[in-house]
Amino acid sequence: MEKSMQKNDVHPLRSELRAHKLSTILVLAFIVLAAYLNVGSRGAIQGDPTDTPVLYIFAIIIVVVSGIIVSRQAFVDTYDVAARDAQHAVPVSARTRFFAKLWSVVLRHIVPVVLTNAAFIAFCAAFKGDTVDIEYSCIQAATILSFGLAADSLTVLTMACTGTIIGEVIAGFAFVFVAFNLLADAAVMNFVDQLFGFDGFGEYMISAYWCVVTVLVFCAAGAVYTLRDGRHTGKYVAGPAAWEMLAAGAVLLMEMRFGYPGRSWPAMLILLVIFLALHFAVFRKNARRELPRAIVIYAAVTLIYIVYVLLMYANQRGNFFSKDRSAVEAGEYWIADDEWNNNSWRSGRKYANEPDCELMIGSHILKWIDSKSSDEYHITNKDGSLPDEEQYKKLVEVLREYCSKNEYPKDTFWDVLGYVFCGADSNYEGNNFGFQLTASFGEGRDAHRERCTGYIVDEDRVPDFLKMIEEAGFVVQQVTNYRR
Amino acid sequence: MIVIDVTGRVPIFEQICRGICGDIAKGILKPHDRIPAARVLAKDLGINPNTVAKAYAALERDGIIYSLAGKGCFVAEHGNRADRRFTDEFEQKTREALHAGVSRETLAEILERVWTEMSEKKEGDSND
Amino acid sequence: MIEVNKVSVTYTGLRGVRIVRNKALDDVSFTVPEGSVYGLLGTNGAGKSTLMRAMGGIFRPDTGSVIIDGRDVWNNAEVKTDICYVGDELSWYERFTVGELKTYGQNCRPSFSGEAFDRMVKALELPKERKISRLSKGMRRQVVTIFGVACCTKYLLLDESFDGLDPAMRRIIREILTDEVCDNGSSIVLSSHNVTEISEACDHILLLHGGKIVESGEIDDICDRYRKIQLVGSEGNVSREMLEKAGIAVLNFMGEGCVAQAVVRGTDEEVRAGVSKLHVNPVETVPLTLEEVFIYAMREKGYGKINAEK
Repeated sequence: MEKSMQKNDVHPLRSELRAHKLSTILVLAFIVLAAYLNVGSRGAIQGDPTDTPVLYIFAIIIVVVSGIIVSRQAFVDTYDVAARDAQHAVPVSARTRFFAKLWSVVLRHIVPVVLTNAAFIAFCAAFKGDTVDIEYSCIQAATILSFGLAADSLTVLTMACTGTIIGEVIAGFAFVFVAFNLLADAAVMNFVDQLFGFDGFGEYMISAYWCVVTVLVFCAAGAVYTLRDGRHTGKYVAGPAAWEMLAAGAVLLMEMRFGYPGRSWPAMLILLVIFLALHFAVFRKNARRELPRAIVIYAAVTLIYIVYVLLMYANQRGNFFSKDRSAVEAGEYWIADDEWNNNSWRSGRKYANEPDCELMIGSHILKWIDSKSSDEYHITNKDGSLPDEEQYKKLVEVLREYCSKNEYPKDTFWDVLGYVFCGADSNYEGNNFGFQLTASFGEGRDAHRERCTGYIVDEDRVPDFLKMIEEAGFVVQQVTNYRR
Repeated sequence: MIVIDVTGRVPIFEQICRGICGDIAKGILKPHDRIPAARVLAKDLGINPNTVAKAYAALERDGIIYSLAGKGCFVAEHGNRADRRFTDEFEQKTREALHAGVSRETLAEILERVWTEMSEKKEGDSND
Repeated sequence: MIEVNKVSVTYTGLRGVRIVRNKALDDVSFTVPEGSVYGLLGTNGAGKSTLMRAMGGIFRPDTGSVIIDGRDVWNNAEVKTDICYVGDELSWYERFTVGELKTYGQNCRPSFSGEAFDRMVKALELPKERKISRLSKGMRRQVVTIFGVACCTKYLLLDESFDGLDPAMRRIIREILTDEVCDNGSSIVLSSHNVTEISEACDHILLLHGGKIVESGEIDDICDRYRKIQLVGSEGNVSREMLEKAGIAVLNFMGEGCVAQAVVRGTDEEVRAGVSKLHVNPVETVPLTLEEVFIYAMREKGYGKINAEK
């Protein structure tokens, strides 16, 4: 027997691919269909610009389901004894085996998704550019891809961890989570925007986020997979603890998605019910002992979620503010909600002391809107002209000084909880004013507004506040009067 | 003829030895005749080749066969060495017979008769 | 040479949420010599398959190790190129046709010989273009077994390869294995619960029960370690206790009055020496057949006892 075997004489990837010939073709057919639905949903390929966005949802569903199927087939040795006997006997290390399987998932699922979408989009760009929204199709394709990657990575992770039919349940759970991801991504956007403070790319950010998550999940799956022993086929690697952690993690992520300021409690209740139902399905025989334990785990997860919420809503000074995106600080402005064409699908924030921010506050109408009554006050120079950069900076200074001398209401920890979970009023909305400085630019299609939310002023101090502004050299005119 | 009873009490290699010795004793295998290679015999009998090799090693140790590298195994000039297995068996059978009540005279008579038969046969063969 | 050193394997399972442990192998140690055909013989559930998987590097032993040619086999791709393990569950292979299985083998192993595979397929007259799932049970097993043989590895581990084969097919497979041992110097490990098969095909065996070794070594040596003896008491009755007092381990005792038959553990010399102290007439002893060793050794462990002994 020749002892000196070349490593490249063994083709674990080829042997993987050879094992799944028929299903590869079927999956490919469905992926082509998904790509067609993607491009066709935003301007039909036939040239008739009908808009049927719901087809896009079907594309996502196809890609996710085919991803779960392909991943399950590739990692068959985690649950099937016969496959494990055959595949683990092949002379490759567990690490090589993992990568071979990963590659087979990529080649059978990811590459077809990318190529078919690219092909359809290129075709449309070449021949039907005017009737099909190419850019949007690209964005949708990126989203579909990120869904596919997420489905693959989560399925592989659950296979590596559990290897049983429970894996299906968790994969389904993960799918639901992934499916609703786009609809309520406020937390991700918030977090990323706060982290980088730059003008987000909208849906591209979500795709990028999911790509990073996918890579991390694949790394985790690889680590767990190489831990597996042949005995773990059809079983958890680490006992029920792994399943619990996975389920708990999924619940946490779901809460982050579905939790909405002021409306969290119905979502939490539904999640609790689903969580308990899953536990009941898995641990039927020991339900009496298991369900109380599940409730405890759920409470622990919710606690983590609460901490997360508080982090999201806290500012550096340790105070809590229950206004979304309103980290109000004395001495700092920032401009939020860049509204473009009255649709705010692009948002970002700038700090008022940033160079290009000031550039944007060129010639505009500076107004102050009373956030309680929405009364509008215009701020102009004494001669009626709009404040320029210098004067605006001066105004900002005045405001800053005013606020640093005065206390503004804070929300306590419990106020925030009340607001986030029950929609209770925050102290901001109680007895005092918040105001907004809004700057508008451009006209027509290019019109957009920049808003600055901040400074809380006590109701009875409003006249003083207005007077202070006037003394700084500005004129304040109340434009509307909705109050009383 | 080598007959193997896998389920019997006699070890298989022993059965092979007896079979070969029996063939030698009956004149079926003559000195310097080639006996099948261990592998071939194993396949013919449907048994393990190492067992056959063990039998051949035992036979070679007893001087009943000899092997030439690359050529195979051959029956040796046997002298009296093949006999030892039979003398043991013969002795045991004699004991049993005597124990069972067969008389000494009957046994001696059988011995004489068989001897005479085989001598006559040998002479007949060499005359042809 | 395969050295199994103090290998223990425990299965951990879940019953509801409670963790259940089942010790499948307990401190198993033995050696498979070069060029031998080694049989694993045991009761159902004795741990034969578990042991083979541990030897094939598929299971990791909880304690101990399996050393093949001086290297530990667990997750060691280099060592695994010298070993081919063929399991008893065949459903994975059923997706291929016979021809595709050959290409699969060529992708899996550098030493796979397509030519040997074709030769054996032809010799067994197996249909090349048919999917393996459509073959009869015996043919399926044959195909997978010759797939294993065609891997041309130094060590071949075959789990229940003769299961479901008729005598003619078993003979052919045995001949193929003989060729492997003689021409290529391979060592083969077989597992079965059929004593006849093991007796025919193997020169060494391991007898397993409840994850523990009952006997190991060459078949003839093992059978020689047990005797069946007939005792005729010269002074009254013969009893089991008499033998046991003489220091002889008794596995089975049958007899009335002065005449008794016993199955005991010990070589011929040991037994005669022990018995000579007793008041019995010269004793007749024979070695056991392998089947008898299986039955009585297992009975001693509490397996297969139906009639209570006197």
